Order: sequence, then C-alpha cells, then structure tokens
Amino acid sequence: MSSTLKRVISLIVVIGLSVVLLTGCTGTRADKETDGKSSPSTSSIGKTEDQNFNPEGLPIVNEPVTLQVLTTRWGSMGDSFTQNQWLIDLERKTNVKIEWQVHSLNDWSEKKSILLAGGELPEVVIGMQTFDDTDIMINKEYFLDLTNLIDQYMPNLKEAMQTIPEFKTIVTFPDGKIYSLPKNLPARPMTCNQPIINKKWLDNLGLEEPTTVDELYYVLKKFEDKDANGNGNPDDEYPICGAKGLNMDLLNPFGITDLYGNKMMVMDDGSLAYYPITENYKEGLKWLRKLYSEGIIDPESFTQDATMQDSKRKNPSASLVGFDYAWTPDALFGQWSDEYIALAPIKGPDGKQYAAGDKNGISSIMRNEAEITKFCKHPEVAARWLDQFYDGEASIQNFWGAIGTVITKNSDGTYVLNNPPEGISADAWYWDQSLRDFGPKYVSPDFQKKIKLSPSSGDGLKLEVSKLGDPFITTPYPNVMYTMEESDQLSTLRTDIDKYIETTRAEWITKGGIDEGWDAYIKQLNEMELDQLIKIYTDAYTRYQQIK
Amino acid sequence: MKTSYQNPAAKNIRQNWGLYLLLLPSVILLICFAYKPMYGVIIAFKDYKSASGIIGSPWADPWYKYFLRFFKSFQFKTTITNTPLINIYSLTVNFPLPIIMALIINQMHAGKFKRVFQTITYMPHFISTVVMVGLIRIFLSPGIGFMGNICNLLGIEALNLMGEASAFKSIYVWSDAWQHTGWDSIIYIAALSNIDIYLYEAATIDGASKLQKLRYIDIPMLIPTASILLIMRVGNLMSLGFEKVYLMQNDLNLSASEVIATYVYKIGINGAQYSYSAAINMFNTIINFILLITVNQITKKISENSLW
Amino acid sequence: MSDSVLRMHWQKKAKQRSTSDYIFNLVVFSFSVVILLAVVYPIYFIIIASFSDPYAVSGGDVWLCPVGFTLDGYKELLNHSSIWRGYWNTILYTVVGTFIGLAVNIPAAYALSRKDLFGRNAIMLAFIFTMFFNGGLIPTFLTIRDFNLYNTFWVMVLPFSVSVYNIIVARTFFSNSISSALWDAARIDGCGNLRYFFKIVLPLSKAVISVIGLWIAVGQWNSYFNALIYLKDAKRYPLQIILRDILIINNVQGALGTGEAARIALRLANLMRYSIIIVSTLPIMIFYPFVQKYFNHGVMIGAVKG
Repeated sequence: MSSTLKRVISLIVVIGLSVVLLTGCTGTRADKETDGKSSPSTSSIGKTEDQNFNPEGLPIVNEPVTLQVLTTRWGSMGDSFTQNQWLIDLERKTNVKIEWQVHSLNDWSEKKSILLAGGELPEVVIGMQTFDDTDIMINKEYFLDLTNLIDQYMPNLKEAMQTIPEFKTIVTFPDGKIYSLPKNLPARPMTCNQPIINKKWLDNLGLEEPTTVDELYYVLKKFEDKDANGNGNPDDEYPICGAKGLNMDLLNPFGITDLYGNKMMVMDDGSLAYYPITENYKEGLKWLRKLYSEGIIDPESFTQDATMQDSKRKNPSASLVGFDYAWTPDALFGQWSDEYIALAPIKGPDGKQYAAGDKNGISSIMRNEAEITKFCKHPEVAARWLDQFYDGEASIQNFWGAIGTVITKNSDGTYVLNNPPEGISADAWYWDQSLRDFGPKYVSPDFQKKIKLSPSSGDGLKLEVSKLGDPFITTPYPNVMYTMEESDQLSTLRTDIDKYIETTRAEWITKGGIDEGWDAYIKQLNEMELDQLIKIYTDAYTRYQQIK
Repeated sequence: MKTSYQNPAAKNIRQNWGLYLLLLPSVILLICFAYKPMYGVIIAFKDYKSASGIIGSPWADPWYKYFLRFFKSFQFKTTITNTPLINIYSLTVNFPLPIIMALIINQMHAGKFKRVFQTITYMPHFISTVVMVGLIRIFLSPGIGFMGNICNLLGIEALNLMGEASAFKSIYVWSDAWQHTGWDSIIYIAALSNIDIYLYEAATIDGASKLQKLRYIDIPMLIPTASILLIMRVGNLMSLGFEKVYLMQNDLNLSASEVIATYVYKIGINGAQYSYSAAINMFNTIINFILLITVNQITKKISENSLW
Repeated sequence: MSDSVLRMHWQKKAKQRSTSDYIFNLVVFSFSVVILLAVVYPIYFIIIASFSDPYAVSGGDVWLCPVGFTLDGYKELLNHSSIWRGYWNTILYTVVGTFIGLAVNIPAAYALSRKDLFGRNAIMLAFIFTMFFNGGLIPTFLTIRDFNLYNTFWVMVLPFSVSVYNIIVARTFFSNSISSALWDAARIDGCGNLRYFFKIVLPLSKAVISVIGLWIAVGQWNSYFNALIYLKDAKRYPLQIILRDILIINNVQGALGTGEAARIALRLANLMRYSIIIVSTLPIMIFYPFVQKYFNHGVMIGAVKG
C-alpha cells in the first residue's frame, strides 16, 4: 500500500473516530445533564435548615421564590389565563412567583419526547394532557413520589382524599406510589351522551316520542319514508347519519355502554364483560343491520368524514338529520338546534333502560393534573403551592374564571356565572380566563351545591338534561392504571383487535352476514390473543379495587 | 518513498483539489447533522427509556424482539403487501405521465397558451393533503357529489367508491396523478430545454416527421434523468406517505388501505412505542435499500446511468 | 434514378410527413385541452369554495358559483396579526434557504458528475446512505442542541440544507448536458477546476439551477416540521405553523364548546381550509412564471461545434 493511500485511509479513520467520539460524548452528556441537575430527595423534607419556608399558613415563603411551571393548552390559546385575578392574588399571598412555560398541544407528542429525552423539564408540570400514565411510568425517574409531601404539606388534598376515596385510588400507581395529583370538576353531569330526536319532525308527522327500540324503529322508518322536515321532499331526510362509522351509543338500549372507550363493562354482579363478544352486541348489530338495509342509516356513514356529516347536520336549507346521541340537544345541529329534544334512555328488548355515565360526574375525577419533577429545588414549596388549588373557591375560579370577572359570589354564599362579553362564546371565554379543564382542583359535594348554573344553556343545560338519564347510568369500567408490561402489550393488542372489530362491524351493518360470520369472528379474536387483553383489563381492575 | 506523480490516485486528488473543495460544504454538513446522530438507529434494538437516553437504555431481549413483534402482528401481511402494491401501481401510472406531459408541452409554440397551460397544470401540487382528500370525498360521494349526479343522469346506481376496498388503490394513484403530474414534469421540461434547436432543423432537412423527432431527439434526452428518477422510486417502494392514506382510510376499505406508515402511527398514539416504531421503520428501510442496490446494479449493466 | 422520380419521391415524403405531422399536432392539441379542463375545474372549485359557505361546499351544493358568498375565511386569517410575522419569517427562510441550498448542493453535484473524481462512487454511496438511514428525531435534536442551533434563525436554513435527491438529479444534468470535451479544452488552456465551474459550467446550467432552486424554495416555503421541533419562540415561526395553529384552534373551540360561538368557530375552521391554500400559495404562483423562462427554451445553442 502506498504511503499516500495510507495517509488517506488514516485520515478517514481519524475522522470516523472523532465522529464516534463526539457521538459518544453527546450520548453520555445527555445522561450527565439529567443527573447533573439538582435532585433533592424527599428526605430533605422536614429539615428546618430552610428557614425561608413556612410549613403552614401564608405566605409559603418569606423571601420570594420562583417556581418553573409548564403547562399545555389547545392550539393557539396562549397564556392569557395567567392574568386570572386569582392566580395574581395567589402569587402575592404565597410569595411564590411563577415562571410559566406554555406549550401548544399541536404536535405535543413530538415535542414531549424531545423534552423528556433532552432532560429539559421544569420544576412543576400541570395538565393531564401534558403527561399521561405511560409518560410518567416510563420516565419514573423524573418525577417525585408525592406520598410524603401530601401527608405533611397538603392538608386540603388530604381532606379531599378522605371525603372522596377515588381521589386517592385514582392516583396510586401500580408500584403503590403517587406520582401525580388528581382533580375533580365542578358541576359535572352524571349522564354522558343521550338520545336526541327532532321534535319538529315528530310533530309534523303526528308521532309520539319513542320509548322502546320498536317505537324508535317505527318513528325512524316514518322519518325516512315521509317528508318529515316539511320541505316537500320525502327523500332528503337522514334519520341516522354517521361519519367514519356509527356511534356505539346507538347500542345503549341493548345494555351496551362504554364510557371510556375500552369496551369493558362492569355488570350488576361485579363481573367484567368485553362487549364485542356478547350476545347483546350481536343483537344490537342485527338491529342496526335492519335499519341500514331499510335506508334509515345514511349509506355514507362509514365513508364520509366529519365535515360532510356536519354539512348534513347543519344544512343551510333544511334540517336533514333525525336522531343521534349527543351531549346536549343543541350540540350538533347548528341553526336547527331548537327543533331537537333529549329523550330518556330507550328501553331495550329486555325492557330495561341503560345510560352511559359516572355517578361522580363525567370525566370529573382525573389524575395527572400536576407533577413535581426531580428538578424542583424546593419540592415542599411546590407542594404547598399546589395545595392552594384544592379548595372549592379556588377550583371554580380555575375552571371558569376569577370572582368579579366571570363569577359573582352572592350574599347567600352561592355562585353564579356572568354572561360572556359580546362576540365571544362562554366556553372560549372560560378558556381564556382560567386553566379550565387542566390543573389540580377539588370541589367537595357540599360545595357543589353552592354553584347555581342557569339551566338554559351551557353546563347548566347539561345538568338539566342529564336528569333524564341519571337514574339509569351503569357503572363504568374505572380509570385504572396499567403496569409497564401491560401498557406495552395493550397498545399492540388494541391496535389490531380494535381495528378488526370495527371492520367486521362495518361489514355486518352494510352487508349483513353476522350469523354466518360470528363463529369465525370469535375464533379470529382468540387468535389475536383477546384473552390476553381481557386478562390485562381484569388484573388492572382487581388491583384498583384493592387500593385502600 | 513514492513521489506523488508515480501514484495515479494521489495525482488525481492533487489535480482535482478544486472539486473536493466544491464537495466540502455538503460533506461537512452531512457529517455533522446526518452521521453524527446516526447512532440513534440502534433504538430499534433497545428498550428505550427517555430518562436513560438511547445509549443508556437496555438492549431489547432478544435483540430482534420488536422485529418479531411486527412479523407476528395481525397487520403484518396486510401492510407489507399494500405498501409495495400501491407503490408499484403508482409507478406504472405516475412515472410515465410527467414525461408525456413534458413532451406535449415541449411541442407547444412558446407563447401565452404554453405559459398559461404550464402554470395551471402545476397548481394542484400546492393543494394540501387534507383539502385534497376532502375534494376526493365530495367528488366521489354517491349522495351529493359529481359522481352521484352523473350516475343519476345515466340512470345507474351510484357506487360508494370510497367504501370499496378494490377501488382504493386506483383512487389513490389517479388523484396523485391529477395533483402532481404538472409539477413533476418540470424537471423533464428542463431536460428538454437543453436540446440544441439545430438538431431539430437538421432532422427536418433529413425528412423526419414530428413523431420521429420525438422518438429520436426528445426521448433520448430524457432517458438519463428518467432512469435516475426511476431508480430512486424503486428505492422507495416500501415507503408510502402517511397523511393521504390515513385521511382516505375507513373501516370498509381498510383491507386495501392499511399501510406500514398508518400502522406505525396507530401504535404510536397508544403509548410511547419508540423502539417498536423504530424497528418497523428499520425493516422498511433495509428492504428499500436492498431494492435500490439491486436496481442500481442492473442499470449499471445495461446503461451508463446509475447512481454509483 | 431520374430527377423527376426523385422529386416525386421527396414530394410524396413531404406530403406524408405533413399528414403525419398534422395528425400529431391534432393529438397533442386535444390532449392539452383535455388536461387543461381536467385541471382547471377543481382549481376553480377551490377558489370559489374559499368564498362560500363551508356547509354548502361539503354538502355538494357548490358547482359553478360561490354559494353563500362570504369573506369570513380571509377576514379571520388576516385578523391574526401573527400571519404577517409568519409571512415575513417564511420569506426570509425561503430566500436565505434557497441561496444556501444552491450553494451547497449544486457544486457537490458538479463534482460528483466528473468521472475522473477519485472516490466518486464511495462518496456517492455515503451520501445516498443518509437518505435511507438516519438516527431519528431525538439524536438529531440533541445534535442540533449541541451545536447551539436550537431556536435560532440558522436552524431553519443550514443543518438540513443538503438534499441528496437534488444532488443526484443535478448530477445527471451535469453528466449529460455538459460535454467533457469542453473541460478538456479548458484544461489545456490552463483553466483550473474552480474557475471552470464558476465561469463556464454555471452559466450553462441555468435550467437545472432554476429547477433545483424552485424545488428548494417550495420546500422551504411549505416546511413546518423542522420549525415545530427546533423553534421555541413564536416570533420565529414560519407561515405554515401559524396557519395550522389558527386552523386547529378553531377546530378545537368548535369541538369543545357549545353554543353559537362554537358553531361559528367550527364553520370558520372548515371555511379557512380553502382560504389558507390561497393565502399560502399565492406568492409562489406569482413567483413561478419568472423562473419558468429559464427552462423554456434551449440555452445550449452552439456551445460545442465540431
């Protein structure tokens, strides 16, 4: 080999080595960085050397301390909520200054993975959309175990946990520790989606409000055959109109309710059932098949997207959709909202009524509303600061807006909501003025009674309408936590199994053949390790029941 | 010690130092931003945990754990047949069309019509995928769309094409053709612009018809560019953009529309499956790379235009 | 053969040629008209859709004229002052990015087109390798951070400016359009590689430079993923991110809220889908015709004689 060639080769080798070295350095540097930052252990709590800190009362610290807090918000909502008067007062009262980092939830999943990988975490994280169960469990090293902090420095939360036991069970991770904090929301209804029907159409055709599936079928058939919307055209009505599939709430009369979308139901005797393999499901699908074959269901329900469905629901010239399940009668139909009313749950073939709901309020009690990371320099300060949120008045101000702006406190101790200013919807206003759904909150059952909402719109309307379904809500499969191995398997199993169930459902409804195909369907599900999926759900449930 | 003029390689390098200088910026950038992070490919073989970093995470046990999971998954067969099938279909349609369009445009006399034609045909390229799929849906809707209206006029029953698995690939490929042919033809137009016009004149004197000029002057000018682009398309046979397929999917056409990219996306939503998705992507890439090498070797044998 | 027979032969040939030419022209013309119509209508549709009630649009009521004429889609967009900042940023990124992109990729393509370059195939392979294998989002992010490029202007135009695809295409042009005889002649005259490249090759390559430049520019104009990951300050955001944010916020407010304003928000979101296309594409459509002339007629006239 010539010397020049050797020189060239050695140059390449040198470059190659330096790349690898640089790489190696960076790789460990990322690790070093995360180790290098201060990580006070929980054993530092209780040491009185931190004279600045007051374990009780206000202010929390004598000399101001800054806390870095990160939260996420939808789209471009921005950080206007930081102007909430209650938050401003809080800063003054506690002497804890907050440095907010607000991120948009658009593509948050990519940003999130980078933040976690690069060790760029702040001291406190707020909002259940920011980090979920899996994020926390996989990255446990980043988050502090809050059990002792709660016990010593968070009296409000402790009391909440005693009044509402779910507050504790829902944040207990599979290893028994508590890595995040819970919340419950004020003024939440118990019933989720309810049957909504076009009353004007019923009146036009002289029909009664349906109470059983057979009556419902009869009414929908009339909608389809006749000129229900009164515009002279008997063919333009869509009694039922879906988008990318049908709403499974349609199967409520058959005893199938699935509040959190994991297809597990808790039966009256406490046992669990996976509904896509039950006889009820089969019966329900046959009923839907009957509806589809008679033209009651829009044939494009499986192919059109939400925009096209919306244009049918909100068609400018006439109301076109007859029946659906929704949050409130005015949620879906735009300018035709006044024509629709809510019904009590429809009686199924067994004569009983079922509604999907939660006696604690829908999506009321949730976890992962706040975490304290290991980068927090003063965890006890953070804990005490977070505890300030677990108070009735604090919570409503963090859900709607400050007293004086959004809320008025009456002399009799009740609270009412003010009207939003011109040009902005109530909901958008609340998002602007507060953390809204996100962040720690606690509203005790007693305090809930002090909130008086107007029953004609918004949250108040929902509470009214919910009364129709409340007596019939089923027990939902709770918001359990899965171990890492379970989570891992769950994602693969669910991706495959859920898709299979959806495609077979689509075929059976549009083309029929459920009786012939049922056995092969069950067999295929078993081959896809459905029993493993059910086992995971069952184990998680058992664990959940055993937390005290 | 051999002097440099006795060593052809070194002599070459010394003489052509200017060329290496021209190469330098891109080489430096690639080393810094492509090769330096390259160690990340091992994530497919590890049980990745953010807190440990890629290097610190434990090796997957066994190392092929995530690959095996993919091979055993229910969607494996569907996705690895759909992806290349759609791509092959797309290749047979969308590879020749831009060439034909370039040849047509080249025949036009320079002037307003030619400019307007070019400008209009490239416009669809800029439509975002979301709007494009929305348009397809509206167009093909048997109830309210163009499709539905025409079928009504002709008195035949309108099919819901978006719900037919057998129609999926065609809708996908032909809508791509509509959207991108104009833009894709630009490179070929540029290649044709390099033709010496005296060649055309000489051909006319020799009695060539327009068709013959096309065959013997235009097309050979396009062959080098076309072959390179073809090789690169084959090297992407296992890759299919995620967004358009995802928007066009529904429960009725899933057997034809589930591709690797959408599957990886669905797994991703259900939890931080970095290692698993990395393994699937690596499997994809390796197949692509093998295909590329194969096609390149074949091209080397039959023509001068190969990648390396 | 006698003169008259020859003449008849040529006349026959000429007539045949002009008949086949005539047919040829007819075919070409009809194709172009059909293509034009097929393309023009949907474009027209998008334009009128951006002025129509979105429920009429997705309800299939819009065909030739806007239905429910409204300027709301545009008004809403232009209301957000961040759009102007986004426009400005994107223009900056595009201009600088195209310049850097050309400066990095074109010379490399030329160098690789020279068959006498030692190590040519190995270097090419090393480049192509990076098209297939890359470290992934997290290691790349860490690298950007290590170079202190995170959240800077330069991260949008420098680190990812190498496009192996563009290099390959440009290289093909250089190999096939520039005769090697030219280089031989120049070398004999004492011209070095660099001078040859700048003084002779570049002026002859206007076509390929315009096309590659166009591709890079459009890529920069439409990019948003890099900005999403590597930029933190909203004031540096390019147009596409801002447009997306506006679209999503309206979608979300429409979905989450109830009541009239939520309805308005959702309707706006559906409407803006079309106006966004117009707003973000208009500048390119204005700019393209200027580039078009570079590859519309030959630039190699009589470069090499004999």
